[in-house]
Amino acid sequence: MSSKKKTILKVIILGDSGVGKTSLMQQFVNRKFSQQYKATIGADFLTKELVIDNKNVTIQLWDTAGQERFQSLGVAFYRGADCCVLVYDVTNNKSYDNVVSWKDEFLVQANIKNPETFPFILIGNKIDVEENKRQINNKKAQQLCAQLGNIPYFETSAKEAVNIDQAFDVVARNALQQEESLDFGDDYTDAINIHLDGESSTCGC
Amino acid sequence: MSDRPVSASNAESLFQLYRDKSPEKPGIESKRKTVDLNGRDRYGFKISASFVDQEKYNTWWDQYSRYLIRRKLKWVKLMNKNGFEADEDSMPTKFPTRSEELKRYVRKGIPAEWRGNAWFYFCKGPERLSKNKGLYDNLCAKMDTLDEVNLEAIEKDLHRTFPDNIHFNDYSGEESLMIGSLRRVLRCYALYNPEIGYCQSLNFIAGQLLIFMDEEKTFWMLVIIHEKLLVDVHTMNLEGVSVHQGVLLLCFRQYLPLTWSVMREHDTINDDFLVNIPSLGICTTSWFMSLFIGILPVETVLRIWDCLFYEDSKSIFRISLGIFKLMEPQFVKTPEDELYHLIQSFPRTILNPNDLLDVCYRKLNSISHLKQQEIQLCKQYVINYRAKYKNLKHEDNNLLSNQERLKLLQEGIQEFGKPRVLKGLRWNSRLNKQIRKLRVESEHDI
Repeated sequence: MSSKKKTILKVIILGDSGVGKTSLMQQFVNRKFSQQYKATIGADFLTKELVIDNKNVTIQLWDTAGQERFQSLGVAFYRGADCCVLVYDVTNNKSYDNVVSWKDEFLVQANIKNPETFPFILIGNKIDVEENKRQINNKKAQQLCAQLGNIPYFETSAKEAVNIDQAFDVVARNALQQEESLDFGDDYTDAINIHLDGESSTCGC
Repeated sequence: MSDRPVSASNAESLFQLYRDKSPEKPGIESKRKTVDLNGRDRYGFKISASFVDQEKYNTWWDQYSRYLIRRKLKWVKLMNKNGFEADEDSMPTKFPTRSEELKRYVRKGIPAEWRGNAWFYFCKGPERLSKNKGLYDNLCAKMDTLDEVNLEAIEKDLHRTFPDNIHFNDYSGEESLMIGSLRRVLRCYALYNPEIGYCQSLNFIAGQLLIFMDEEKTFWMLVIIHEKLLVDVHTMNLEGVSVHQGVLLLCFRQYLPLTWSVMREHDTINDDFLVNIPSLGICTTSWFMSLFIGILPVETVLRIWDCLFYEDSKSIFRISLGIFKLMEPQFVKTPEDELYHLIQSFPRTILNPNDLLDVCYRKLNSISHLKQQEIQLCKQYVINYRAKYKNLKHEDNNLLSNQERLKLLQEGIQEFGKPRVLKGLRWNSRLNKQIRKLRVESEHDI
């Protein structure tokens, strides 16, 4: 079925409020930066066409609200995701500490079948700030990545367009791999297990 | 007496620059020209930051501002007819009693410089204020005692509210008065209503109110909005958001069957769409949470707010349906993966408020038949349904026997199948099949 369709990769960007999710997405898709982004409510979407190994793909980026309570809407946002980008602000300890809970929350809400293999990427944003304002160093972040299952790590500046394309190239590749592995496994992984759906009931005998 | 600095009434000072008023000398359109304040609209928003280009904006504005002047004159006449002294320069604080005629006038737009007073008046703000004298000042006095999480969240959003509006920009290193007002209002509201505290999107609502009224009135408007229009929408679990989306989906099915069938066709909507709100349905989250700010062009949002504050919560749904109605021709031929983008980008193109309001309120249009009672019944149904399902799910969904599931389904139908509730709207067609199947299975169980 999906071989006829064009390949759409759904990517979710998560992280605390104000770490620069919108800026990263805007820099990657529209090549622009503004100090003046408004707070994101619910979710915003942007798409970009990419060529990966001679294959045309559309990457669909979902930018989400960072305030914790918006996680209760997560199921609807995360459904069918092919990759999840976790973002923290290198000048903000707390946003780093929360990375793990963003990941866990995503896995629970998106109802991911194989959490061990699902592609995550960690991004430490705002590396353009002066060194003395930095609270999280590269080594510490690398340790976290190892702990989270050796996920790729990038340090970026959405403001100065540092490392953006490199990061999203890996995002797209890993998302594509995930998408293809799902096709191959012929699993229809709709996140929700529906109580109304007769088929899914295992007759309780 | 009060900790907050005294600032001029916002509406007064902001609108000195521009009023919906006839030109001083016939033939010279001096007033209309003043609207372009270095590429900003009359509220201080950058036009270039809006969703249309300047030229298109100017062409539209040239027409629309004439409409506004005509409407203003009609309002003055209406006021005089009802025994209120008013002319083009006055700022009335009281308005005629509610009537069909007044409703028509409101739907055609309240004069911009009267808006703050009119919204407050129609929402019964003056009564709340006089019954609670000093409450806001007391809250202001202890606003620093708000918990760290809320304080921080508010601080993060102050400059991310209207960065494209001149009144929210700090100048020469000094914080703008608006930012200060916004901070106080949000802190006070968070203290006043700990169930909500601070929720992102309140900044937009409060910010836009502050352009039209002072901060104490803005505070009371927030209180009233949550009682009247956005019940539970901003609470910790955002349950009200899901409920509103569920009601909107039911409205689609009833009033926009074509849009609904496209949604179904794309298989984004499952049978349990009221419990697990589908992704397409959730795209409209911010419409409700921020009352259309940032979704539609500024003048269009303001016209919607005129209706919202004069009428009741059905307006939110009528407007949402209206947007989808305008979008429908494009919606039905857009591929699934581009639907999200369409839902996000299309509303921004509705520059002329009358295009949208005509669809929502014109008698011939089915959307205008959507009544408040229907919305209330529908909302109650969605609330009950979600509560019931979530409880069961909480215990353990897999332990739910077929009999229990059957009961759940049947109760759903009974509650919802009342003939007068959203006529023609029934649980989806596949349901009967499922009930039959479950019935057979549950008989096996026994």
